[in-house]
Amino acid sequence: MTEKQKHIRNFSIIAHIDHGKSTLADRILEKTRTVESRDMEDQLLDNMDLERERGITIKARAVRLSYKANDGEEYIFNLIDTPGHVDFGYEVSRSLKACEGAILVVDATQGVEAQTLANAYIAIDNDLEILPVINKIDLASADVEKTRSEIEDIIGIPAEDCPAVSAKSGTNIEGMLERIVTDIPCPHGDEKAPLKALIFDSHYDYYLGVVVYIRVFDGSVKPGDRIKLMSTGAVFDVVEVGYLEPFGLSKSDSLSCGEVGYITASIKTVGDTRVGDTITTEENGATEPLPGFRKVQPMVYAGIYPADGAKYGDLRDALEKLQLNDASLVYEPETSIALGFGFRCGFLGLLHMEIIEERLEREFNLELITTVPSVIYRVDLRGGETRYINNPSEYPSPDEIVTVYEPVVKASIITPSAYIGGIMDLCQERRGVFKDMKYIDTERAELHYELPLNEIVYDFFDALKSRSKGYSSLDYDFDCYKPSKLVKLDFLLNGDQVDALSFIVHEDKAYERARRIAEKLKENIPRQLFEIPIQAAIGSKVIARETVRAMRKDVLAKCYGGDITRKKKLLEKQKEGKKKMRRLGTVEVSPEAFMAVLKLDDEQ
Amino acid sequence: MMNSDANRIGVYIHIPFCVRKCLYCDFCSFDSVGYELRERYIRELCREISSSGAGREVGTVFIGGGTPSLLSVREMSEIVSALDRNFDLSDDCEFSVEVNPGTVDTEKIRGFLSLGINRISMGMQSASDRELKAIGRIHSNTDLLRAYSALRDAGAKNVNLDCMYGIPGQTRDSFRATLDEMLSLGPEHISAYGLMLEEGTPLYRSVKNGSVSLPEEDEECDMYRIAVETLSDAGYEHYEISNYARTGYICRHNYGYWNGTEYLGFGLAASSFFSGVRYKNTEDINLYISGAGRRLECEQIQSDEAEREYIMLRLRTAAGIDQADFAAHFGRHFADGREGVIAKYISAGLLKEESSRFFLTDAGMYLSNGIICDLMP
Repeated sequence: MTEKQKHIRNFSIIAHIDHGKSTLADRILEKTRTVESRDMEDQLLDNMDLERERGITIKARAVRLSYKANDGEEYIFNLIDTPGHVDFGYEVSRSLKACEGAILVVDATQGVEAQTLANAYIAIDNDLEILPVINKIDLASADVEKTRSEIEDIIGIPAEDCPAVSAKSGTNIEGMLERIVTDIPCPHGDEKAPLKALIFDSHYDYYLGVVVYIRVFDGSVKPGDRIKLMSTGAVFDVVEVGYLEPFGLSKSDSLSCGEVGYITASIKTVGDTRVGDTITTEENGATEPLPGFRKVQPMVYAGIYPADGAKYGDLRDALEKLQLNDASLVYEPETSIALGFGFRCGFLGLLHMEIIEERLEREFNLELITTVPSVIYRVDLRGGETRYINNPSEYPSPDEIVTVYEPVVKASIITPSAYIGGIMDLCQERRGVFKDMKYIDTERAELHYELPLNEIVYDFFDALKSRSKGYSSLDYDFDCYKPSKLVKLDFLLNGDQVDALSFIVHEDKAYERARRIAEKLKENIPRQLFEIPIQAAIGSKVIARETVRAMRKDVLAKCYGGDITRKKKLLEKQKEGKKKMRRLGTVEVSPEAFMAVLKLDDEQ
Repeated sequence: MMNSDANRIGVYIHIPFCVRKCLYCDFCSFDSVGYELRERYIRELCREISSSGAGREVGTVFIGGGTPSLLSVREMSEIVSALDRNFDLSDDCEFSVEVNPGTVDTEKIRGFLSLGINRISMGMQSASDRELKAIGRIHSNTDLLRAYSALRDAGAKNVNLDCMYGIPGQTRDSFRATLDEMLSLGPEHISAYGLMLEEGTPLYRSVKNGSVSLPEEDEECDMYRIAVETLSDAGYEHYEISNYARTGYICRHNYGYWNGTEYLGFGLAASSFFSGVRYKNTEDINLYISGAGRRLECEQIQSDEAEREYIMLRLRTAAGIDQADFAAHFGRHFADGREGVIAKYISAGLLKEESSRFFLTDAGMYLSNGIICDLMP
């Protein structure tokens, strides 16, 4: 082992959402004097606006810090941030893979939560040294001793002497930094061995191309090296290597064993640099990649359409740009009779979908119509063929189907005891199968359910939050496909089927959902020249109906000399509105009506 | 008559004073204005008229408001003199003035008629005192009957009565009663307007805060239908969305707005349309009186704009769009590129094509916005 290696500590901070991970990261940056406090912007590590607003970390980021320890030596800390949400489990595991240790932050007022556990288990699975840190001790309701015993009892790691800090006030941060030096192992690895570096993130830069974030396990890499990405065999020439400083990239001569940094190699798309892949040299490279690589698969699909059909090109460009930084986003062109040209997009989960939608709307100023999210169904057909279907429009007719399977997840919900009843009702309503329940302490319990994923994508998070006043937490993992009684629900306006409104739903839920959506359509479709029947149907069987009555009045009573300009503007505005209307057979529906109908808000 | 007006211009004069503003009104007018301000306004109005000798024959004059009948005969004569000095008023000039039933008597009307005014337009609105109150009118039905007799006694030969439907508290039956009373009076012209709820008016606020409710849309639509049927049966031609006239008595001035006649507007907030440009005066009365508020806004009406206006305005009238006239204006057939839309509305019974004209049916008129939108370029 080199002297350099001995002075490196690679670690992550893991936590349940809102337990103070980002604030703690800020404090570490400040105390290591990497960032002067006057330059501190709250939560420096989260560099997307959206992250800052939501207080969650969407994409992993890393930063290199230097720390002068009590032993008089100078240490390099590589702090690798991880996303805090269940949708990004794989990214969390890859970020942790790049580390030797993890700081497990637990809020002293909240104790261990669902994602504390989930993340701790991922860290344990990756053989990381876990340093528990109890945070928010400045708050009156903090209970350090109770939190300590929860960490020991629930997670099963020693916590009797773990640091108790306040990231907010800065209390005992130095103590924690010393523990990073003493408790977290330095990186092992052989500098003379062939290059093995793990990709744990990447981002697209307009000038540099893809900037690949790596952790070097063996060997070293420098500009001019010819490198190979082991999952695809793609070869690139390294242009630049360097470190990830708090305020940007800082070039260096090479990156060697144990170090964390970036490389650029004129790579055009982040899709070429899959998180979890191993980089080696083209000649005399490693024979075996680092273990654990898999290509992430989307779990949730939805159609995304521009509200204004003319913006299709803008939407395509925007998706292309987002994909530059987010290889887990997949999309392909899709055409809907109702909504025109758009894209079928695949997401890691519902939060991922929301984030993409919001970024498209905010950063690219697009107004979108998103169809009801769908999971991937497995359909066994007569004749032995099996199909995986994520789009209701591709759903085969019932007489062709032998069995339909839907994805089921193992869900873990941690909740204060007071809300157990309400949450059990919710899980019941969402076709959950109760597995077990454990009391964490007298006030909180952990429930395990098997839940169909299609019930989770249908506003489960919101329902869970509203039924527990925001105090419950959820984590889930794909389990298996199970046979299910599913049907495709269609909607017809004036006898014409509206493809964008179809969705796949459990038989028992079909009637209720059909009735609600038919009502919403009635509320949102403007009166037109003729009466419009609304029907909800399974196959040819109509299960709900409503009627929009004919419009009778659409007139400007007066228009004289002084009114002409104003009245003309009114009509021009109305014409603009009409242009945006989607024509479905004979019926015109505004994009806003679609949005209102497609909004999932059963809890209201 | 319409042809003879084609080469003439119209003149509009705005009198922005009222005894009290009606609750639904968003026109530019002021109540409780002192005599002195009125005097200064009329002085500037006459200056504006004098500065604008257009050298074109004037076919129609319309003095509107506000409440022009608030003016004394002497004040009115100053305005008419200014017109006479600067414009060539044709021998058959239609000269209208709006009057409020609460502000006239035989003597005043006689005075107005002696100045050359030959058409009186009176706001009756409803025969029900309760409805008149609901929209803040200053007069009662008795006042209206008295004023109407005064008009006729003074010798008025061409009288319009305005009425409204969609008033808070109004029913199909009470509207029928209003129409019946109008018919018993026998005016030459009737305007029947659906009440328009305009933002910023007291009525708008009352409706929004729920203290007042308007008749349902279906009820209001029925009232429109009742007006069309009742007035047609009584021999009035439904010649524009809200206007009905006995033969020979359509309002030529207003008709000019719908068939593209040029007009000059004088006074506060008045609009003009001349040489392809629309102008508007200021709405700030002090600025207007200072003389610096004339034609502050102007809009050049370019080709597409002209076509949009043409379609929007002609389709308000029963005569509709004459294909030869359209072709003469825009160099192509009206139906070109509009075949689908035209067929759709014809089959829905909202549009008709007859003797080379396209026009809206009675039912089509009440749905005209959407149809016009579809037909506008």
